Amino acid sequence: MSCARARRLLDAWVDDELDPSTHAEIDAHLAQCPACTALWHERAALREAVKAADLRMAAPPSLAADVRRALRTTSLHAPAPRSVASWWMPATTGGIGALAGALAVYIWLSHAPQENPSREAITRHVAALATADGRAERLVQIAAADRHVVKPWFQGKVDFSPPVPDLASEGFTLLGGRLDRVDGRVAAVIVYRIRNHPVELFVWRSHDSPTSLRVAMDRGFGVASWTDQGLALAAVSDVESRDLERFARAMQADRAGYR
Amino acid sequence: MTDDSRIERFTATMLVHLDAAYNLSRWIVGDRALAEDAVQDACLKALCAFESRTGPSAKAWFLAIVRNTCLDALRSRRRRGIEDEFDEEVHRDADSGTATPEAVAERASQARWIRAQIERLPVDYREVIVLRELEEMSYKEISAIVKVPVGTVMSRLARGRDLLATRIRAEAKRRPG
Repeated sequence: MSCARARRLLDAWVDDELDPSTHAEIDAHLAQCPACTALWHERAALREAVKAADLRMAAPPSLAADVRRALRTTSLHAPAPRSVASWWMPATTGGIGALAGALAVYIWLSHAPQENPSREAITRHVAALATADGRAERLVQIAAADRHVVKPWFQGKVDFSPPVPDLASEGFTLLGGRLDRVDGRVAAVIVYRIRNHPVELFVWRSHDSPTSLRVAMDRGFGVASWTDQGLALAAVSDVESRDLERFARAMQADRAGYR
Repeated sequence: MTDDSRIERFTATMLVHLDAAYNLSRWIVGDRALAEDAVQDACLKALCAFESRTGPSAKAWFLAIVRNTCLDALRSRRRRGIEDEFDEEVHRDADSGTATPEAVAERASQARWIRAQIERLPVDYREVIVLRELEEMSYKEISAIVKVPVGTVMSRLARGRDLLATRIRAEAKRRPG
C-alpha cells in the first residue's frame, strides 16, 4: 500500500470504520512506515487532548421541562410549525425570560377560576404568546399568508369550516393557523398581524343562540366575541380596542357575504 | 392515538438524547439561549414527524432535525445582521482535588485552548468532529445527520483533524515544554 492511500484511509482506520481486510492492510503498512506511524500517533494524541478537554456541554436542567411544556402546549395532532419572519419583538432569546413567563402562565392557569369561554380564549392566547417567546413561527402550525392554504389545512382537523378571510385591505396580514382548545372543544385559531401586534381569532362549535358583538377588556387584552351559525368566535389581541372591533366587524362583514 | 400518549412515547424515546441535541446545537450556533431555542423548536418538529422516522438510529434521526433547525437559526440571525459568535463561557474543570493547583490550571487552560480551536473550525468540519469525538457516532450515522456520503464524512473528519493538528504543532513550537 502507498503512503498516499494509507493517509487517505488513516482517519477511518483510527475510527475503526474500515472493512477487516482494508484495516489489516493499514496495520501492515504502519508496521513498516515510520512517517505514517508518526501521523497515527499525532491523531491519537489529538483524540486524547480532545477527550481530556471534556468539551461536551450538557443541557441545562431547565431545558427538559421547557421542552415538555412546549410539546404539550403547541402540539395537537398537526404538522410541524413552519417558519415565517419574526415579528413583534426582535428575536428575544429564550432563557430566564421565557421560563419566568411560562411559569407565570402556569401558576395563573392552575389558579384561574372557572372562566367564560371568551376569557379562556385570552388565557390560551397568553399561553401561546409565552410559548412563542416573541417568535411568530411558534404561534402557528401552518404558516401562510394565503387563505387558500390556511383554510384547507383545517379540513379533517375540525368538524366545521372556520372563516379565513383576506383582510389585507383592512391592514390585517394573515400569518397562518393552529389548533387550540376552548370550552373543552377543539378550536381553530386564525392568526393575523397588524402593526406588529398579533391578533388571533378563536373559532369553536357552540350551541348557544346567536349573540351580537361584545368587546371586553381583561388583563390588558381585548376580546371581541360573538356567536353565529353554530360557531362561537372570539378575537383576542393587545391592540387598541377600536382596532380589535374593526377586525371583528370586518370578519362579520365577510361572513355575511357568504349568506 | 391521543396526543398525550404520543408525547409520552416521544419523550421516552427522544429526550434521552436531549444532552446530545443541546451539545450539537451549542457547537453549531454557539450562543446558549439560541441553542436552547433551537433544541426546543427541533423537538416540536420531531414530534410531528416522529411516526415516520427513518435512518440508522433514533438518535441520528433526531440530531438531523436538530442540525437543520440550528442552521436555519443561524441563517435567520445572519439575515438580521447579527454576526455568529460563541459566548465565551468559562468552563469548570472536572478535575478533583488530588492534582496540584498548577496542574489543574494548566489542564484548564489546555482545555480552553482546544475548545477555542474547534470553535474556530468552519462549521462543516466542526460538526463532524463534534459528532465523532464527543457523541461517538458512526460514519453512517454522521452521514445521515449531515446528509453527505460516508466518503465525504471521512474526508471532512480528516481535513478537520489536519487543521487542528497543524495548530497544535504551531502552538507546541510557540510555547515549548
